[in-house]
Amino acid sequence: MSRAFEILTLVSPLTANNIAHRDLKFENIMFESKHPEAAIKVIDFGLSKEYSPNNHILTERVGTLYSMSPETLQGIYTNQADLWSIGVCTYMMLAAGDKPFEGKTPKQLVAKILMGKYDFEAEVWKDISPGAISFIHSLLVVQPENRSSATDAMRHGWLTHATRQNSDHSSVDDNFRQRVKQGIIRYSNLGDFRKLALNVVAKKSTSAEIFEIRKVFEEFDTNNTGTITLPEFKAALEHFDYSEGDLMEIFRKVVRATTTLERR
Amino acid sequence: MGARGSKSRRSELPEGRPMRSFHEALVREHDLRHDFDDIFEICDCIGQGGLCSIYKIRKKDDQIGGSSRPEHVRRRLHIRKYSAPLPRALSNKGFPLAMSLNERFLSQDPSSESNAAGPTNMHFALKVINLAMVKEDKIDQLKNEIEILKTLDHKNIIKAFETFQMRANKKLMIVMELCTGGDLFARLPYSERHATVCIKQILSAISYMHCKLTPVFQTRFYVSCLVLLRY
Repeated sequence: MSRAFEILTLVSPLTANNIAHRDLKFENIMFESKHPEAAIKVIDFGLSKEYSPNNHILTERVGTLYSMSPETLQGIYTNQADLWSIGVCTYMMLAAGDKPFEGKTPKQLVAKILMGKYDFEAEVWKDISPGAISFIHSLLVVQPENRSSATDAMRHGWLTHATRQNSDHSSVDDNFRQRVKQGIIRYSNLGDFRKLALNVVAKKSTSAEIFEIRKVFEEFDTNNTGTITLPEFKAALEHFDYSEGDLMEIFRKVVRATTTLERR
Repeated sequence: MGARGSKSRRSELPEGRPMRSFHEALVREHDLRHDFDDIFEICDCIGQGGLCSIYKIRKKDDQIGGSSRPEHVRRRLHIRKYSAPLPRALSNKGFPLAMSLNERFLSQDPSSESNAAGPTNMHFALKVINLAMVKEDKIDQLKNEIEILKTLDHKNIIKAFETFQMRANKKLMIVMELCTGGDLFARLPYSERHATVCIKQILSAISYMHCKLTPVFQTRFYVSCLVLLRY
């Protein structure tokens, strides 16, 4: 009991993260399992850095050469450097592992990155869609301010178009989806302490245990941010015949468990 | 959830910084190697680098209690407790059902148990960071990884569950989710469709880290709902 209350007193409203990964590369992006649809997990935060929103200039030249951005090599950069690295990873995924920037010596490699010179001349690119190439072009931009941000990149046509195609054949059982939605509503009516207890159980479970539920979650999360916003929540529970006000209230109660308990 | 380590303590936050996520409050910190040996056992070495090595570890059966105790352990305990060994005459032919049940329960190898979705809830990854060769002033930098991992709670970012900071033998250990599918190199080449699926998840994780908005409603609330459905 006392431990639970200790946790209660600890939780305060979620605040924004301001963290740059700084070492995104092929080796640091893992598949959770051998399953063909296994989720991606970003690992290794050994070089990550938290920065203050007011002063977000980073100066340490860290990372792995092949995925480092030009501005990181120069030593004045922001979290936009991570987007360059994602561009490098996308290029490599589609080019069967060939890197966009290569050099016989580290010095040559650095020179190529600084110039931002890469091409799509290899044989593999013949069959790649213009959308994919435009996506890579939007990330491998030498000037960080002209490069897509993470939110912009997620809205790129290449990714959103693919989502629409995939959603036609969803692998989640209809019945299960229904039960999850009812579960959310029942959950919203619980007392704070029971909510908290369930949250502790939830947080302690591994991804494998919530494989199915996560699929439903991904359906709700239509703009792929990893979080459910109020409009998405409303859309998901729309056919339950709740009024706008009721849905707001349910949402407020669900979110409440982890955001307002610090008042105890 | 085995909160028996009285020496384990809650993470201490840098002064004035509010708790970032609910997850952060649940990451346990320990000081003693002894605590680790009580809870986990090492299965395998997965990788080794200059400063750190990664192991596959497993939660000891007796550390998993209550309703989250895996089925095969519960059954085995039940059999030990309540059933006397079957008389040989009966077990040979007379009661094939009883025999086959017993055989099934007792021969189940916990390490072979896995489902389509991935490793079971008993397997974890352990990252051991060796501080012995590191100068004092760099140690804080290495602890940085723990501090950051604790604050992140996203479906596409590896999760930390427990940390061990041992001054005696200068080691830093992090118990994390285990990934068994290999890195991006493991599935080369990618079709465009598969690439978009992966890139979307990577971007989702990165935009969460870079995010200036408040995350609202995370995956794991759904588990709360599932728990409700079951009990």
